Amino acid sequence: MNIETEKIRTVPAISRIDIQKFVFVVVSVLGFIWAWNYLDMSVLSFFDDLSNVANLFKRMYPPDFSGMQRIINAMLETLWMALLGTALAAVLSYPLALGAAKNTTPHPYVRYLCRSLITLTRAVPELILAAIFVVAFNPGPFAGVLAIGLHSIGMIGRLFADAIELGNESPREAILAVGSTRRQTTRSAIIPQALPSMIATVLYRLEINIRGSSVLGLVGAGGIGIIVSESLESIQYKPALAAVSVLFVVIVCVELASTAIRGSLLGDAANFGRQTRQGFFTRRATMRNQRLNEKAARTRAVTPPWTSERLFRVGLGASFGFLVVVAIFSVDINWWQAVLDTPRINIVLKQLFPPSFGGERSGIFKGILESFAMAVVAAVLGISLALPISVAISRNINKSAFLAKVYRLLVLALRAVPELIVAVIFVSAMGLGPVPGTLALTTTVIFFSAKLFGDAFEEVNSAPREAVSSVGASRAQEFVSTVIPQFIPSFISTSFYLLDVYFRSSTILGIVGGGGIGYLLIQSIRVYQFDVTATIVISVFLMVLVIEWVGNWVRGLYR
Amino acid sequence: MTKVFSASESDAAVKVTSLSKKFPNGTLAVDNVSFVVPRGQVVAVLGLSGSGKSTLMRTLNGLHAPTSGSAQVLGTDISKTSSKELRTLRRQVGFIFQQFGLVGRMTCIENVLTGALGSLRGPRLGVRMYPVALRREALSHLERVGLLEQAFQRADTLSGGQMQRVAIARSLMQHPKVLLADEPVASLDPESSTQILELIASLAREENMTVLCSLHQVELAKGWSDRIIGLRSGQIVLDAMSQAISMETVMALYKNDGKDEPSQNMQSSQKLDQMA
Repeated sequence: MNIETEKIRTVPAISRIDIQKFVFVVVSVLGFIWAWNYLDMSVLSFFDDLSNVANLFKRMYPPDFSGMQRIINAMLETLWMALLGTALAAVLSYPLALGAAKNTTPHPYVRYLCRSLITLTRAVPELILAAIFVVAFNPGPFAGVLAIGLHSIGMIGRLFADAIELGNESPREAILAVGSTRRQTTRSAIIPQALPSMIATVLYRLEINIRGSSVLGLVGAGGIGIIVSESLESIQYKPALAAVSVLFVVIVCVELASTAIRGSLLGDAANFGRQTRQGFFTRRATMRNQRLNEKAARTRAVTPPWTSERLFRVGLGASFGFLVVVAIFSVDINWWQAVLDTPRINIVLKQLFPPSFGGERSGIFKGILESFAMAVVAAVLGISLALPISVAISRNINKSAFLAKVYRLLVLALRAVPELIVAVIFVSAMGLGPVPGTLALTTTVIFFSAKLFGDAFEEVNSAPREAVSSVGASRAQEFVSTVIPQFIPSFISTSFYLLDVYFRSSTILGIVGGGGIGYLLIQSIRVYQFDVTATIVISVFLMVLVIEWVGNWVRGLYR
Repeated sequence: MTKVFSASESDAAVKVTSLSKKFPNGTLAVDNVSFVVPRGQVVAVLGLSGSGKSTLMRTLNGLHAPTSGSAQVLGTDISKTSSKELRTLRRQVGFIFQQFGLVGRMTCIENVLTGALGSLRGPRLGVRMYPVALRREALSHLERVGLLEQAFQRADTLSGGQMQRVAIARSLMQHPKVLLADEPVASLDPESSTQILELIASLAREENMTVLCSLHQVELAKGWSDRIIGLRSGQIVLDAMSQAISMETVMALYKNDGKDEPSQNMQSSQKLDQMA
């Protein structure tokens, strides 16, 4: 067969998947145009908006720290709420996860029930839960703790269950084989394997919850958020910046600490059997551990020696427990009163069912559509701006690994401010409406997605890159021909994840006047129309399911 | 460019003089190595894992910069090239990797086409961005390695042996004068290994290519190559024509004298890398 002369295909035949991809691309372009017009966005007004925000920052600077005592108290309250909420969620998630994991569930029906409960808790934003609890119980941090505690089950429970299911099966069989009970097997064979990833999950959620609890004040559930919004509303810009900067510093510190701890928890497993770099301290620690282990064996000790690993593990557990106790006593909650004095809980429960539109059918529909449009525009703009940043923060693509690390730290820091706080500032600078809300979302999308895309770039297989550069390809050619094809699946997958996350966020921006369904949502809670609240929450959840369903379809196309 | 083909070295495809490569972590992977490979010769490079075979091969293609000494490939000194000259040289030097280096999500033909990137300007994504003449050529190379039928199949649907043949087809796009193969059959089963080596040998004869190929299979190497170079701890301990030496002499390369414990670690960490 002579390829030069014969009519032979030099391009692939068009497959059904190609057609579906084409449909997806067309629909997403049209969707973006629709969302852009629906929100009355315009590129020209961007510059006005940006200069408004810049002006506001000018008026905010320098920060006024005279109200520092109040700021610190509010910050501490934020931290305690996050800590207690996370602990509550972890405690509640443990049995749920055992019921939801395939290898520990007593019965498939129990598994189904636990899975559904876990999904359900994630469906309601914590800010909405907090607003409801503020009515049902009383304003204050107790409502916040409960809201965080319940909402966090959605993530913690899910990841706990995943960690339990991921464990190796053979230790379980081995322990069953010595005649242990089901409980003993779980404790001795399954939990030890899942524990590092479970602890990492709780720490990660703690990070998220500090950001979350800092805005709960907006609905009367305590914390630092209320200082920011009150100061901005009363045109006291300088104290507002003081509160924001305290929040920023605290969140960055917590994130750095948590990242380091999670790294050393999971790093041990990741580095197992590998030659790791031997720094001065690791060498000292290894020598010390060896000495301790030898001594313990020589003296036939019946308790394990205090190796650095054990010190770290016990220290971590003890400090978490200690902090929880401190939080219980120092947070401004009268625990007895909080649990017993629940004046309106009956009203809330009675009103919640059955859900109804309460005469707001078209309002709800429009609100959800607006939230969706906001999420679409924010996701598309944010992702486009994030892509170049994500290339710069990837150690394997940026020529200078040092610069990549610096940029990455910068991105992580800029990501620290909660989107609702950004929205409060943007609304204060530009006025009410969906545009400031969308722009606030966009800024948070940029840094969050830059981080996720950066991670995806770093996971790209380097073998094809080396192969293609060995044929004499330039860096640009090598990047386009080997990195991009490998990046596309995680790009698609991450983009849909972002759309899901930021659609949920956009449904609460209305609380601070940032447009979307949030305004009706918070209004329905304030006037005790909980049947309408329920309808909105269910509709939002259905929309999330639709996004997830479409996302799974598209992910399949770009596998 | 004038230096590339100077008359005195026209018969040497590869000329290595006192070449050493020390890694930042202190490992001396290649230790004062010298040899000359004339055009058209097929050389098997043997040695334990960690003996410096890979580092040597990769240095010849500029994937590692040498610490001292010089390595001339097709008349160009690797240690003294600008990145532009290096790209010019790489166009004429094919490199086959143990792990194939294919992008699994791309079709075979697209993977083969990336072999032409060195002679094209600008980045390319997708088959349609390459000239039709190159696409035809890619198909003919796929036909040569027996994979025409699979041209539009995704690379990750192929077996290991097939993937390596796609990688060879990619090298053919370069019309290489020198082919460097770094353990091309180490992750393949015995039958595919033989097929791949036979393919490389017949291509070398047809195109008058110079081949340097690192291997583990002593028996295969002896029957297959013109010449055997044996490495141990980064030094050449054996350099002879394949017919002229006995099996025992070659096997002695693989006797562990206990000095090579670090290489054992390397081996296990490499295995872990492959599993991960």
